[in-house]
Amino acid sequence: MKKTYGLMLLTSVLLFSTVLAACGGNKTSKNENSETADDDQSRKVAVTYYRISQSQKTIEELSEFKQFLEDKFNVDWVTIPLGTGAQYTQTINTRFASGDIADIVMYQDALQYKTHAQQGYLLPLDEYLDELKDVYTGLPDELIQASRISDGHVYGLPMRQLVATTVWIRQDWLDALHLSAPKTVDELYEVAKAFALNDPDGNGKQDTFGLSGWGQGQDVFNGLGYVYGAFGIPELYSMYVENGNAKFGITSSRMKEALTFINRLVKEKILDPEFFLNKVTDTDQKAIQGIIGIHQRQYAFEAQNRAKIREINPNAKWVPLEPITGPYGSGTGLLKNAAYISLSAKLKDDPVKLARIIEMIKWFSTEEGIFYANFGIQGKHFTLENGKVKPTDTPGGPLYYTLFLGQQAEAFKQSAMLALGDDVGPLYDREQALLRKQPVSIYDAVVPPAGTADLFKFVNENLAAFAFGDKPLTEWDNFIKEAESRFNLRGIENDITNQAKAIGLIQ
Amino acid sequence: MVKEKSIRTIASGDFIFQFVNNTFMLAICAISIFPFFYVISVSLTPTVDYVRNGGFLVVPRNITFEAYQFILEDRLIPRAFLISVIVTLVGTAISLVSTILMAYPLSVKTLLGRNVIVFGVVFTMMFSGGMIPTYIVVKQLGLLNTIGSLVFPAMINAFNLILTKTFFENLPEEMVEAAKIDGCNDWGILAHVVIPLSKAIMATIGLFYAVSYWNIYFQALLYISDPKLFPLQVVLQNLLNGVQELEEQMELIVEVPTEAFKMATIVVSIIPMMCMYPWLQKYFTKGVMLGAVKG
Repeated sequence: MKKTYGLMLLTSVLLFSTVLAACGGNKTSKNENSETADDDQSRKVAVTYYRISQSQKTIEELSEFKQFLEDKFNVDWVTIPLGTGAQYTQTINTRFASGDIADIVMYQDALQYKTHAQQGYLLPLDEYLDELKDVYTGLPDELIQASRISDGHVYGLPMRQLVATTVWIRQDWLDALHLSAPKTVDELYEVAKAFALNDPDGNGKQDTFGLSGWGQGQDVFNGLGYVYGAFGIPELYSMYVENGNAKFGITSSRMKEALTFINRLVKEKILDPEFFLNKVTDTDQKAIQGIIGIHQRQYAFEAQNRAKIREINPNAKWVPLEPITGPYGSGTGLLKNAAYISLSAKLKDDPVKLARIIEMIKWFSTEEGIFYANFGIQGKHFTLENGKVKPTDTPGGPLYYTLFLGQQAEAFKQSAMLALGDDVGPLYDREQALLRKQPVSIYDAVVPPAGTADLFKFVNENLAAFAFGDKPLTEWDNFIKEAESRFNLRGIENDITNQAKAIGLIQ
Repeated sequence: MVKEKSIRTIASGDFIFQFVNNTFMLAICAISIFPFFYVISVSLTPTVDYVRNGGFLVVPRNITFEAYQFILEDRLIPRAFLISVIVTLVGTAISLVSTILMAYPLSVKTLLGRNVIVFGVVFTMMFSGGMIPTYIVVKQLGLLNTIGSLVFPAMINAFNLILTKTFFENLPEEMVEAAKIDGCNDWGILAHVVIPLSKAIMATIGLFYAVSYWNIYFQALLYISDPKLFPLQVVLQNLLNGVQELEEQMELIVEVPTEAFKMATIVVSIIPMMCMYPWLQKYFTKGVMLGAVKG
């Protein structure tokens, strides 16, 4: 019997400790949402920030960075990482729906940002835009328009713009086959054909392809933007304006021409047949391994992988290729905002905190703030010599995602040069210059209307079938008709046009 | 060996059957083991070898422990490992106790309102409150940002509860009656008769619980915002991918995780669970069978 009482006691202790544990939790969760109506201008405010998770060190781990920021702005700085990709969307939506909204929120795409803005969670920033103009330095006007939502207000500050990827080519293969770098689509075809069929690596086997891509089973464009760009459709979601109406590139006659070209590459085994299934790392590996000779990737591809490339083939030499021109110009991608920073609508009730946050954002887009985010505190973590960053014995940063605002190009270039050597500097500049020439994405500035996902699923399946030749291009008109009748292609285009007009992106 | 001896004594028809059967089973074993073997061998391969072979290799020619070294040196991993171990141990203990304390009364046929309670339990298996209400409950209980938020929302799993209840129902009633005659109350019966006879089911659901606590990921992402409290899976996931794409788009120079590194993270995260299986296996198969025979 005694043992029974022991068990009972144990059980009740366990249950009781459960309750205790539950109560104990209150302390920690409180500072996430502290809201006191204290009007004292000098009080310390807690500023919370939802952001995506990162693999690098967080500001919490770098205590002197955190201290610096907290002392400078008299705040408690709490960053809350909530995962990445689809998970971030889900966690952030759950938190918003249950009333937990951080003071500052990072958005990884326009869709979620614009949806939350329309739902009234976010603070309109129009009155602060003059004060925060440094955030926009160097951005084309269209990108600023793209950050508006259809009520005409701005609720988010653009964080970064996507890179226009560099196209790389194997110079040693060109030399071995006595070819010069291709400039037009026709020359590209000839060079890629020689890469695939004329044994550029001299191993006596036909084991190479001209080019590849990374469609991940759903996108025929990924990794081949420079080819499609010559036909005026660098990306799946490319749109062009015709008589004041936004039209999808993929359902235009240009796409038919582009697919004819791709289909030819597939048929003659010039294009890696796995281009549609590859992940980006697969294609990287094929490039490093010497299976493909042309590869679209960012400016740092060669420098980052130099050791591996050399170890596999000491003579391998990747050089950047100028954009390929075709019947509809040239291009490698679209210009769009990679991320947005927004503020919670609740801040209206706390002007002291709001002023403090605006102050912080402003500082993060000044040179001092930009260098802090990338390299740490000047004099302590790095010194500047003739404008060039030199890390000290105790280097800091970069504080990825802390708040990357303003024109960061110079700082990013410097950090790339520190990590990979000075020769990536010119490559970075080259890519930045290319980036500015790309058209601004209309699609990424609007909230896609209902049915868009279905339309794109249908389109993607068909584009893949056309590219692989499973469906002859004589079926093209039927495909367009079906997209119009079953998937409301024109209706979706009209909706996007109206939204783009409302935010002033097209006249 | 024993097998050979018995093979000789059986008819040739049986022999063919045994042969085909065993070969087939061995092939299935090989198919199940191969991916795991591949994971281990890639985790030990230098990146250059991996790339040179086009990503496919079965036995590494050169072995390197670089990837493991990198993982174990990471500043967050030891701490995250400890958090995961605590969550798993505490969570499994709490879950086991509470599941048994609920399953036993429900297995007693004379309990008043038993069917209503069982219906309530089964109902939650088909319809759940959804993510937002659960989040609000966790928040209102003040569990946000505590290890408790990983343990309590999943304290009793309805399926495990039904399994345990069914197991208890199948215990011989005579033993319970004998204990009663000897003067045992309900607690005594549970402690001295039911639990000693239920090692199989406890091992089974204990393993289910342990695995689910060990693999906890999304809840941690949702409820925990302090990186110091992140369990292992969250930290490994952050190290691995996802972040990489956006980091690259934002022109940040990031170290691309190598394939060896990815595979090594998989090994690190499943090894503790792998070590538990052999010890629990004999109870495990028995437990699953017993729960399943009579529904």
